[in-house]
Amino acid sequence: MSPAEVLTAAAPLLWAALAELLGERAGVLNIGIEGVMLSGCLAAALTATPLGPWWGLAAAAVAGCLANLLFAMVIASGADQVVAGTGMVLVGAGLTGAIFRSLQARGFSGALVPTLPWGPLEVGALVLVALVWWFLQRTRAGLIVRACGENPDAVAAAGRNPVTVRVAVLAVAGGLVGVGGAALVLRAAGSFVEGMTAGRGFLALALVLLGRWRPLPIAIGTVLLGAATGFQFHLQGLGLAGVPYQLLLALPYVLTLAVLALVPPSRVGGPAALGKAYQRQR
Amino acid sequence: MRRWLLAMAVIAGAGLVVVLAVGADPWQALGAALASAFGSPVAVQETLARTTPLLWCGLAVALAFRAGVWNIGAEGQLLAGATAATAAVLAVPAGPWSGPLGLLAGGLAGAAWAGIAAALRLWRGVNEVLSTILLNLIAVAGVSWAVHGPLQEAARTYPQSDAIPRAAWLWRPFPPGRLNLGFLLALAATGLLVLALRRTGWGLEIRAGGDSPETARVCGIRVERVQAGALVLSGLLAGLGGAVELTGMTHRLFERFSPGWGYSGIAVALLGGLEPVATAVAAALFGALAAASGGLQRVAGVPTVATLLIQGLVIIVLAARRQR
Repeated sequence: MSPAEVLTAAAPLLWAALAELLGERAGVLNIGIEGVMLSGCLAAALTATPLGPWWGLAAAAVAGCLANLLFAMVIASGADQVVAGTGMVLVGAGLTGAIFRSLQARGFSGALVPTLPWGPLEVGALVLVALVWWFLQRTRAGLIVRACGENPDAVAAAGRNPVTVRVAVLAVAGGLVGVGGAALVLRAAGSFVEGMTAGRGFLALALVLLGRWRPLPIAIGTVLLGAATGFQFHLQGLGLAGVPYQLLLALPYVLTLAVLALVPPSRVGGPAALGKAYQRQR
Repeated sequence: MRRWLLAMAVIAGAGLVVVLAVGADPWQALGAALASAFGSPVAVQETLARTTPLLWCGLAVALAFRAGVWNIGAEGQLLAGATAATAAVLAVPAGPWSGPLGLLAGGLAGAAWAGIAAALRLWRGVNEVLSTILLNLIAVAGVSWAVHGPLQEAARTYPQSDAIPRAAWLWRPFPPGRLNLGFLLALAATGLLVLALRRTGWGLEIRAGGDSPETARVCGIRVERVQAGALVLSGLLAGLGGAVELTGMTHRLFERFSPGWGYSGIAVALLGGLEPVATAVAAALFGALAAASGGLQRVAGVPTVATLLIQGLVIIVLAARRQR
């Protein structure tokens, strides 16, 4: 596999992981990005087929943004983030599945989606790594986002509403997850299949944890995971691996679980307020 | 009560939107839904048969959540249970012991699958949300491998296991309806869980660890251990659900064995307020929805996958309400 191919395989995961990072630095654990990504995939396939891949990309970003805004509104009401996120996974799978199957009955196959050339989504993901780092560490807005993840009360005391900040961050993150879905449909696969994200949203979650909430380590982990899985399929294609195909599908998850188990529990945790619902002090 | 009204409103509202979206006649769809869930004795049995795996998973999730452990992995634990039950029953000559053996193997496998997450949480500090989700994905791939490989039928035609011998089938009191002994076992488990949570010291530790871990710790309860134990027991319940579904309903293992019961179990447990008896009622509601979706597919062309959407919306709405 050439580095270009590795990057194509890793790009969907990279967009999703960086989006998850933004949300978590603002204090929101979003399990639901699996469902958000699926909605991006379907929007990309549906729009790109009649209008072309660039419109597909735009539609995926909008769909991801809207889906994540739904999640943002639910947690803004003080809902538990883990429970609401699990609901989002089901909503994403159910909604895209139902729409896709009823369109299938009317002749839309999801195959042969027009694709984008190599470049914009792969290089874009790499640029985003730098951009996210710069935003979080070097801008005032990034400081406020991080403060929402560490101590939302302090943000409120400084005169800003942490809920508003979180909703805004989730809207942007949703758009990025949608682009990740588009990268899957318009670059890596070239088609839409029901449930095609196949756990990538959950892997993004694990990568943020393993990368200790910093963009560069997350990017390195993502590319390594993308290369490891791509390499396995390469072996399979050459007929060298005696491992059954079905078990190869589990490889990224086994690998991630093993790394989670082996990496010593760090004292440097995530954002202090991660996963905690914010309730305004009265 | 408001919780139930809200859930019913979400089911009715989302159901109506889906029916209108596929261009079906709402009244005809409603008729088909009610007929396939309650229209005849066989239909009622079908509702209760669909309730069974939902109840096992709902109890599993309710127990874990009560203890303060986010077990998102009932799906994987159910699959592990079904796979182990298939392997155990097929490996041993058929006899009156086949059924109990399948259930035992399934329960243990579910407990072991959850045990991985419990051990990682207890000793390595790995977040159980992440580990149980990853174990779900691994279990799905594992079932796929099993029915293409070691457990594939002797004829090697389809990716499915051989049918288990009749001796292992769970008793069906009123054939041709599919209601089976597994439902009664689930009701028994519900009763046992009520007693265990309310009347035993262990139950108190579980509830204390979930409601107020700090206080429990001060009182000398080893919260982390109690929670790890609850996660294993939760896996046992989900694994039993898988074994019961296999020996009571499908009689063989295949890809996509579960349409997402483990995830539906979360909706069921939340609607039941994490109380076992109310969870059983919630499971029956979703069981009726599952039975109805079959009729909706046949008559109105509504894809059954839409039930996932409705369950997801119920979870979201209940999550938003619960913390207010």
